[in-house]
Amino acid sequence: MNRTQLRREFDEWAAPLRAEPPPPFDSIRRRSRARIGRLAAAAGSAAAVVALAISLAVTGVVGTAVPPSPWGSGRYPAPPSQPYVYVSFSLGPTAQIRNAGTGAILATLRPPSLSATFGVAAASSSDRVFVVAENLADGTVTFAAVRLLAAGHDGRPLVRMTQVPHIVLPAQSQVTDLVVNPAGTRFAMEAQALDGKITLVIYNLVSGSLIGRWAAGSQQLTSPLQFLPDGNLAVVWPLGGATSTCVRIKGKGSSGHCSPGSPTTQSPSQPPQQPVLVNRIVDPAVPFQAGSSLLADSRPDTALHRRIGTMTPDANLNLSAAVGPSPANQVTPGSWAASQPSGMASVAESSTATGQLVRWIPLSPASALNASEYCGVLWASADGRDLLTQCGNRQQEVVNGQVTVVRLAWIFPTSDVASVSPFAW
Amino acid sequence: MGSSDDFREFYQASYGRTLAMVTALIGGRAEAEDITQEAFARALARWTLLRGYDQPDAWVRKVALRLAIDAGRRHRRWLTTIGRLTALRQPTSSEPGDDLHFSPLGAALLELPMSERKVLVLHYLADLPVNVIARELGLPPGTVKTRLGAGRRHLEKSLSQHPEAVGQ
Repeated sequence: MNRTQLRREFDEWAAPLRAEPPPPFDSIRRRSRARIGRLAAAAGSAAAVVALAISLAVTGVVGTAVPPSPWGSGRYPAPPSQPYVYVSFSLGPTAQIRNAGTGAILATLRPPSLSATFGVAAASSSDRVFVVAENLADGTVTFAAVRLLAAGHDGRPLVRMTQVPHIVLPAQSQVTDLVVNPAGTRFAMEAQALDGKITLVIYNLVSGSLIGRWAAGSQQLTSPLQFLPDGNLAVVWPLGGATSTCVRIKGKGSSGHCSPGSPTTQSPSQPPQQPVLVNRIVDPAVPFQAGSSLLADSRPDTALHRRIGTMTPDANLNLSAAVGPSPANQVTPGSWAASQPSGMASVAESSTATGQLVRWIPLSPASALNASEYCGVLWASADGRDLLTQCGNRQQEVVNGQVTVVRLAWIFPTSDVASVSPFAW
Repeated sequence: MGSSDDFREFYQASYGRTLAMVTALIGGRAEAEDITQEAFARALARWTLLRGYDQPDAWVRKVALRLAIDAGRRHRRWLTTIGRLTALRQPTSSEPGDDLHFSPLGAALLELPMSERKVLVLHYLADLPVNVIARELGLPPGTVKTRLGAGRRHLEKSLSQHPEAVGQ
């Protein structure tokens, strides 16, 4: 079949169709009008929807085009979508890395053995490096570093969890503090053994080596560890015995005051004093000799007169939560309690330099406190002006002094150990 | 002559040619009529603009072609959905002669891929040269020639298996 034959085939096939009389013109006209009517109706519907949306937005029934905040009813001062580690005793043996904005689980961490559990977590300020404590079946405690790497193909972060060698706490030890420096390069841990002895460890997460380890024979728990903006570690260290050097006293303990750097000599005839807590500064960049004392390896801090609760990242403010006095109780005039909102759980902001109270931030009525739910500061900006707090099931943000109730994706539980939290971000 | 009279004349002259083209493309007579009428209804809605064109039938042909291709996609999705009917390829018309399947040329056309079928239909039924087909389909002329040649070979091969068609 050549092209001419093929064309003839087509012509013969199409001839009846080409000769087909078209439908009446009126049918095309009606169809055209119906089409115009359909388009007009569709346009009218679209216009009505737009008009309804505009009217609802104007009247405030619905919001404007601004997307809803992922932080609930208020703006959360931290950058959105930063993940955080949440470690819970109550959610089983695993720990979850959750999206702080949505609460979605980004990754699940599993302890090194089936019978082990996570206990304590700490985070760098970048929320990219975490350290978690692992309670093993035999009672010993080990640590692991968790690093969140660039997001994988599904948008979730790649998680690398590596065991920290060199640090195995004896059975029944209790981690009493755990902090990671802002850069995520070092962490410090304080633990108390079953016999009450305190151990302080500083570890280099980059080189995977122990920076220093010190021990103190005290039954008294110390205050929180804190990495300072200059990279040094502020510690409160118990000193006891006849030849202890009292550098600075934390609070108004029964042991009296000591001046910075002044030695205190105890008489053998006097009863043994309770250990005093002193503020010291440790420079982790300095190599330490094994077996040396923390007193020899540190220097007195000269800037931090008072340490109560936790410090803001710039180390200028203390943040401590307290429940205010009931109206029936008498309070000492001029004391902090005198200005604290009565019957309320509040956060006290005080100057680390002068010890003066800066302000009280009401958190929640004391009657709403729940023993299983965290009460205190969840997050603080570097200068402490912006805070995220929780007390019981009430969460709020403080931005430029204005307090707004917010609703995060999670109610954080409390910790059964002072100074450590089962969550970190 | 008013615009309505213009369109009526254009409609009377072009309807059959457009119907043949659409039928050859999609195979079903009833659906082809519906598509052809829809194309002319759209043309009527904007006739005040189209009447100024040198070849308003090119606009109608383009609309009809697009509607036919859309209908072909819907038809294929439907056939895919009900699976087994794809293999049966039964005519959808109730009356022999209404469907392209009952003609050897029509049946052979329907076995071609749509890319080759479009080119053959525009060339042999709409009498368009290669360069016009290339412009209307947005293809390089070489591609049109290639598809035209391939379609012609496939069509000849199919028709050779139908003696009643070849013997004419």
